[in-house]
Amino acid sequence: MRIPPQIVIFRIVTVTITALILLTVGLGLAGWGPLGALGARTSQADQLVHILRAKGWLA
Amino acid sequence: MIAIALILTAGLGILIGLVLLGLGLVRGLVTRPDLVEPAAYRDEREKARPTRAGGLRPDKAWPFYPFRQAWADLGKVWAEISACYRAMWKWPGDAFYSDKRGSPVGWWIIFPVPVVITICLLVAGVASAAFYSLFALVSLACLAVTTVLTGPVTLVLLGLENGRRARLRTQASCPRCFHVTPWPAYRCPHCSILHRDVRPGRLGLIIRRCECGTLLPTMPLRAAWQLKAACQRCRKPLPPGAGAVRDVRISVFGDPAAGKTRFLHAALDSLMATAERAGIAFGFPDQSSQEQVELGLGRLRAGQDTARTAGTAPPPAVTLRLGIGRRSALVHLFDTAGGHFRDPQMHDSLGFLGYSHGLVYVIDPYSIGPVRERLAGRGGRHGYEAVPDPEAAYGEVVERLRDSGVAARGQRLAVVVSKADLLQAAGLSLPGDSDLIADWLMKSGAHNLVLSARREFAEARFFVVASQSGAEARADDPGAPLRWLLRSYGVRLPAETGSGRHRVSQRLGETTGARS
Repeated sequence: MRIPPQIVIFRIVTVTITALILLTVGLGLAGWGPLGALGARTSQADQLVHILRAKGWLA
Repeated sequence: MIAIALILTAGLGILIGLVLLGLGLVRGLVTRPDLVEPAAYRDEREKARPTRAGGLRPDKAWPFYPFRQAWADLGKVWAEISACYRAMWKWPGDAFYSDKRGSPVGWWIIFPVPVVITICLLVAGVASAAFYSLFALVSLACLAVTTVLTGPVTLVLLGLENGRRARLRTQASCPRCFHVTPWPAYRCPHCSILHRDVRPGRLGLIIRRCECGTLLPTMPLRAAWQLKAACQRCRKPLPPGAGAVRDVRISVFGDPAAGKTRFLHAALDSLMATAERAGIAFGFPDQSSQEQVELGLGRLRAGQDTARTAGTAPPPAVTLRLGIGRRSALVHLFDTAGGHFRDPQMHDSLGFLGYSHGLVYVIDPYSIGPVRERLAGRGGRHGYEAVPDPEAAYGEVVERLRDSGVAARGQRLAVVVSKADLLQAAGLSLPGDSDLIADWLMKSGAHNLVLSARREFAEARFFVVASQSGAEARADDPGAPLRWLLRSYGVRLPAETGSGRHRVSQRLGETTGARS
């Protein structure tokens, strides 16, 4: 049975929006895109790992 | 080193979670979707809200996405993600945590491997759940937006539809089984299945998709002109526009040989002339009505006697259309054999009386005692002894209406004294004004009829008619009762010309005075 276009359109819209949100958050964590500010948080975590490693707390 | 390994493991878990979401979406929405098909949706609706006796079964059409399919999609995507995730755990679970693939001790000797894989899978599970939650949130937001946008529109459309139906009285009446419903069923032009409720709702706002995939308009206002209407009960076709235009039902009743059928044809003849004069389109939407009227008018114009109405079953109603398109009106005229009212077996087949907006009670003047006596004195027509009491059929119909719970106060009654031409030929002339005719009937012994008619109906008017062709310009125009009833129910007709159509005959009033 052929799926009505209405259903296909709704599905494409929801999947596309989900993918865009995930992409935006992902790029944001890498410091790019509209949520680039999230990159600062990633840097802080990265620095924390480096500090802990330097202190020998992490093997 | 361990920290980096943990971070890398978690990163891999997140990536796997992303892959799991992708797999779930592809399988759940594309390759193995859980499609809620029209038949399944109808069964669900029926199970949730069983159809009451006489109610309408839900239609087989694709449900509007937010109402059902959206939830099925969410459920299916989650089921697919879960299935994939469980499949991923199968080998590690068997190898590390059970004896199914031999002793797991060996794996725990190379300690980091089971731990890394377990952590990776746990992170993948959490990540996939988080990603699915995001998808679910997006879906729910889309549903909310759709509902917010379509909800008010649906309410407005339903309100407009209800208002239009109440204003125009756009019911659908079947001329064959006499069933009346607020709107008819409409047939899909492709697969011919009936759609019994095409109002905006769960199956579509502006359009709906039939099970076969054909797009159909919602709302009887639009469907009536694009689809074929059918009776909700007997499924026989109804005239185009049924359910979208004004629908007026008028029943003609009276004693046998009172002149009901002849009156009906003469009234139609007069109505056709009125419509033609006023430039109003007049036609018959079905062949049966056209043939029935052509036959009757042929006899009437040729001056022949009208055939008696068959007493076996109520004949199909004569349906006519006044006007064109959306502003037209469908008028159904029911002519019942006089014997039906006295036949207990026919009692149930006279249900249309209760559905009628207007009733026409035809009285044979020869059944009125004083008229008989006067004509007998003049040596006129003989053999009146067998003519029934004029109040009998009226009483039976009113009693039937009361017993059926019909509020007769919502109906109008035209009391028609027929055969004015025969009376005139015999030297009798009846009054023309409604009140004067009522007075004359009171004096002639039919006072119960007059009092009851005025008490039991929203309005009662009295007419004297000569059921002849070409009588529309005359005082005893047979079209007058029909025009009055049609106008009362909103059918546009030209205003009545002249008043006090008959001269009052004091002499007859005196001669046919009340029985002592």
